[in-house]
Formats: sequence, C-alpha cells, structure tokens
Amino acid sequence: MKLVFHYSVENFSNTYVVGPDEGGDALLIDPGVLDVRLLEAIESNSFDIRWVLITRCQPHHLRGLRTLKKVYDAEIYSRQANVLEFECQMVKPGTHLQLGPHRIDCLCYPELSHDTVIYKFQNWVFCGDLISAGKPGRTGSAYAQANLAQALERRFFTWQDDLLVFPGEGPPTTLRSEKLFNLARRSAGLEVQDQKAPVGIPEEKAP
Amino acid sequence: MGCRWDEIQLDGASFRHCFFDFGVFKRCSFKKTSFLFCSVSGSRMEDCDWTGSDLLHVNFNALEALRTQFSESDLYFTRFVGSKLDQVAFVDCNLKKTQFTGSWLQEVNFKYSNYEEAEFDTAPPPPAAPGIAL
Repeated sequence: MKLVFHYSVENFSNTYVVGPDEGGDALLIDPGVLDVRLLEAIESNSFDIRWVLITRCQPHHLRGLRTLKKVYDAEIYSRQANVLEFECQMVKPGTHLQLGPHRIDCLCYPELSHDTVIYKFQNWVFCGDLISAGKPGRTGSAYAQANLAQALERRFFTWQDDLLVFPGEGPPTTLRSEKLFNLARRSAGLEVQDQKAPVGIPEEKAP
Repeated sequence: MGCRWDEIQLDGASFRHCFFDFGVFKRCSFKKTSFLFCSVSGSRMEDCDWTGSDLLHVNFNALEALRTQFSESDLYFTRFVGSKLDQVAFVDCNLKKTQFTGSWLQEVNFKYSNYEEAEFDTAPPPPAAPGIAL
C-alpha cells in the first residue's frame, strides 16, 4: 500500500492519496486542490481515484473537488448528503466503509463541527482538522474548546500508541506523541504519562 | 522511532514523510539536509548541526535541544510546540509560520531571521521527553 502526499500552498492544507503499490483503484482524502503536481503524482503511480473521503466540508478541504470529478468518476464520502453540487454517501458515526479491499473506520466529532469525520485505515489516521501536530482543532469558543478536549480524551487518545496521524494541516505525527505533548491534554491539566493505551477503537453508537 | 544517534553524519541527505520520534541525537551533523514533512517529536538533541537545511513542515514538538544549530535553514510551518531550547541558533532562518507555542527558550539566537506569522508565547518548561537518557 502506498501513501502519496500533497501540500497545497493556497490552502495550507494536506491531501493524501492511498493506493496499491502496483497502481489501480485508489482513495483520496480531502481534495483541497487538484493541481498539476498532484495529478502527476496520481498518474505516475497509475492510480485511478475511485473514492474521495472528506474530513470536513470546508473550502480548504474541497477546492479541488470539481476538477477532480471532471477527471475521475469517484464516489464521495462525507458527513453531509451533498458537497458542492455533488451527491455524497453519508458517513455515519462509528461505522466502517468497505472500499474495495480497504476497511476504513469512520469516527465523527461533532464537538469540533457537525460535519467532522476522521478515517482510520490500517495504522494510519486521517484526522483532518481534529488535531494538528501538538495542538487540538480550533473551535469558536473556550467552552467548545473544552468540549473538544474532553472528546479527544474519551475517543481519540484512547487508541494505540503506534498509530501514525496525518492531519489536514501541518506535519504528520504519532498518537503517542500527541498523547504526551498535545496542548489539549496539557491545558486540561492532564498528567502526561507514557503508558500503553488499550488497543482498538472505542465503540460509538449511531444516532 | 526511539533510536539513538551518536556522532552520525548525514550531510546532504534527503528525507520526506519519515518518523524519527523519541530519538536521542548527540553530536550529529545534518548540514544541508532535507527533512520535509518529517516527525522528530519528543526527541533530545545535543551539539547537533542542521545548518542550511530544508526543514519545512517538520514536527519538532516537545524537542529538548541543547547547543544545536539550525542557522540558514528553512523552517517554514515547522512546529516546536512545547519544546525546550537551550543555546539554540536560528540565525538567518526562514521562520515564517513556525510555531514555538508553549516552548521554553533560553539563549536562543534569532538574528537575521524572518519570523513573519511565527507563533510564540510563554509557558513553563515541558515535561522530559520519554526517550533514552543522554
């Protein structure tokens, strides 16, 4: 399995493409832009974008979607039924998607925004705006920030340490590093501990 | 991850999307290297030299660095969140959007650097990184 990464200098956002080593059906996370560099990266790996996963329906995650849909006939997955003028497969919290051979766990975080969903794929997590390295996602108020810190504590930092975290903005990180150093934990006064967390994703109930 | 690097020379090397977290780097030379989108969080560094390197979007969170050179490097959008930097030089660096939030800085030299949109604030020293002791 190959992970291709693209950084958009317009949006300061990251786009990720995951596909087989030998090329073929691939999935793309957050089409913040579709420029020549990204297109070349997709084509040089012989990827055919079949699925688009959107972590949050904000412009910096979507700006390349129209161009992408002109080039590839991809199904779109997001927390909303429609994104731009395209119909989407709605992602439900705590469910998983079976996209070809890939099983992808979906978790929603309404504490950040109603349309936030993150995708866990093998030991990779594509977390969009939920966190960026060392910091929690940004909300509109101190109350919402505290809510988000609690949600992260209950439903994100409980995963196993060896997960690689790929945020929508900024450099990659690891879950162990975030557990130890993320400002969300430190501002909540949680003692920094380096201990093994329980393996697996906690169950979430669909509404 | 969690490796110990003693007197390693990697001048001119190029890495992209690599993870070096919780490492211990002592008297290493990384001059003119490229570490794009790499993660070096929770590491300890002593007497290391990154002069003239491309360190864009690198995760140096919770770094404990002593007598380390980043001079003439491009550190655009790089994170030093919750770091402890002592006698570290960022002379003539590009520090645009570099984040030092929650970091503890002592005798850090930012001479001639561009720190447009860089983030600084004050914070107590971070807890020790759980790497290997120097």
